[in-house]
Amino acid sequence: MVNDILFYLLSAVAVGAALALVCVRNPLTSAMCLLLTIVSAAGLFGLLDAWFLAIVQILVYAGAVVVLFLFVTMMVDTDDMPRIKVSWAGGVAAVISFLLVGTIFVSVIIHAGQSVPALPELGSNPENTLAFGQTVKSYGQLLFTKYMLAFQLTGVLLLMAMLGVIVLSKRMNAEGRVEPSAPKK
Amino acid sequence: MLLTDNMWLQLLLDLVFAGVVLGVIMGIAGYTVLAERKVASWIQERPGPNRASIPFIVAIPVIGRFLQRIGFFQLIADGAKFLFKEEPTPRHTHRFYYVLAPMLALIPPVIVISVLPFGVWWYEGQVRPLAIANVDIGLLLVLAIGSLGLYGSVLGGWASNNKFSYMGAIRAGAQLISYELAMGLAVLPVVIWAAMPGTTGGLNMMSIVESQGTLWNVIWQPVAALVFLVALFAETGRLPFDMVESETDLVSGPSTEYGAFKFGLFYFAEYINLVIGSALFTLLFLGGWNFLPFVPAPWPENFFGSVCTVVWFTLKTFGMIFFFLWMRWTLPRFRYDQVMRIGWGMLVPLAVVNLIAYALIIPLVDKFLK
Repeated sequence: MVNDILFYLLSAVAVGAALALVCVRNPLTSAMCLLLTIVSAAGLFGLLDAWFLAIVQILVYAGAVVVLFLFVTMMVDTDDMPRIKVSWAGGVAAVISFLLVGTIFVSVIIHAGQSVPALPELGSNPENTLAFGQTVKSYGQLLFTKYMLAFQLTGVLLLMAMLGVIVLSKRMNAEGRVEPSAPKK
Repeated sequence: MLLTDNMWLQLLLDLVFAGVVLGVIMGIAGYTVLAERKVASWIQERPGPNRASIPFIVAIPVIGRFLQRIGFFQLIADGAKFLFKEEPTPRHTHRFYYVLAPMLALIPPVIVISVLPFGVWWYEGQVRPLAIANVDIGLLLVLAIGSLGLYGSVLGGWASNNKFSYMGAIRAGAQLISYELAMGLAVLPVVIWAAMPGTTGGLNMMSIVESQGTLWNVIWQPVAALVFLVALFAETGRLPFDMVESETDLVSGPSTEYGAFKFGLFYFAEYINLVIGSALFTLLFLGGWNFLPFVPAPWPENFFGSVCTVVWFTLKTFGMIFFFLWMRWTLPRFRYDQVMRIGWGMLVPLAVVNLIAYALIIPLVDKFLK
């Protein structure tokens, strides 16, 4: 019963904050709404007994990513933000993506009858040779056995993003040395 | 702690226990403020706070005067001052975030307290940690929730709408994110060591302390300890890394525009962070409640033994707190560019090399020396 109440509460906060995130004018408030969404999503992970995911969600997104967003939005003068005019193509793209997301929602609702077992139930099932469970150790084992390929590919992707930042932000001179970025005049 | 089968009674017991632990740690944090002033005064050869007194208690022959001289009542005077001061709110602030920021500064460290074990007790032949919550991922939780304290300074600095506060907020963001990385990398070898083959521990604080039964991590992994300690100074904003509120160039950083109890919350959060940081270093590197390096714990397995572990752990933590205070009044402040160079140029590479080295050494030790 408590879990149900918590679920509806957290979902309401997550959805409400996500709506506010796109509707609010002040970018800093948007960033804080994103924070609220992430923390409520972490709470939802917690309700599923996936404590590790909940904490990693907070550690990575709330602790680092949103801080960087705040960092950037703090530099922006929030008082004279220009209103963005929605172009014709942009509007069409928005409608199409909304329909696509809607399709996902509908398919989830249709399949909701065939419920997926929660993590602890998977763990107690003797047919599962892989260690599903709440402990961190089982996450580690899964990550390094069943999902090894996805794990490695994600690593490569992140490395590429990191290299891309270095290439874009550093200027090389003719001798191949990195030049310090010149101050704007 | 599971003592009874009655759910409501158990809940009540848990709440009382959590309340007592929070109260004690808040008290310690409060007296750390006093300790800071006293240590500063001793280092600078002056008496420090020695006037505040409560009439009847001071009249007790020897003890009363002694308590007054060490400034024992100063905390009550300070607290009352914070409560009764006029509380001006500058007109140019962003009101909502201005009020929210001190709360966001104080809440995360208070949550972190819940997972720090401070002793053990023996129940039905099992060793159990004395902590409000003994969670599987204790260390991760400490790092994750601890990193949220940053929002207090960042939002406070932005909402104050003042150049100095704003600069402080920017510095807070940059410094804390930079040093978090070094800190996380430094604890990884400790976690690998604690996750011995055949156990499910590792990230659990209890298993980390148990892995240092006779060999403390500060001896066995000195580089990790050094990196962690320096990063801890930076994360708690203690003096050699006092960039966020360095009073010579930023007045008081994000807390410049705050007065009365709102300022008190920022101030208090800083000292709770200091206490938690000391406790964390004790748990991770100084063997927690284990007796001495190379000496097995002599605690008897009963109530008296539990008290011993708590007292011993508290003494070590107080030692670390003293070390923090001592450093503050000994070392000059780094420049901002130096802080960044130390973080990214020295600590992170050192922590990575240390991690790779111990990732190779620990399996060999597990295989051949055990």
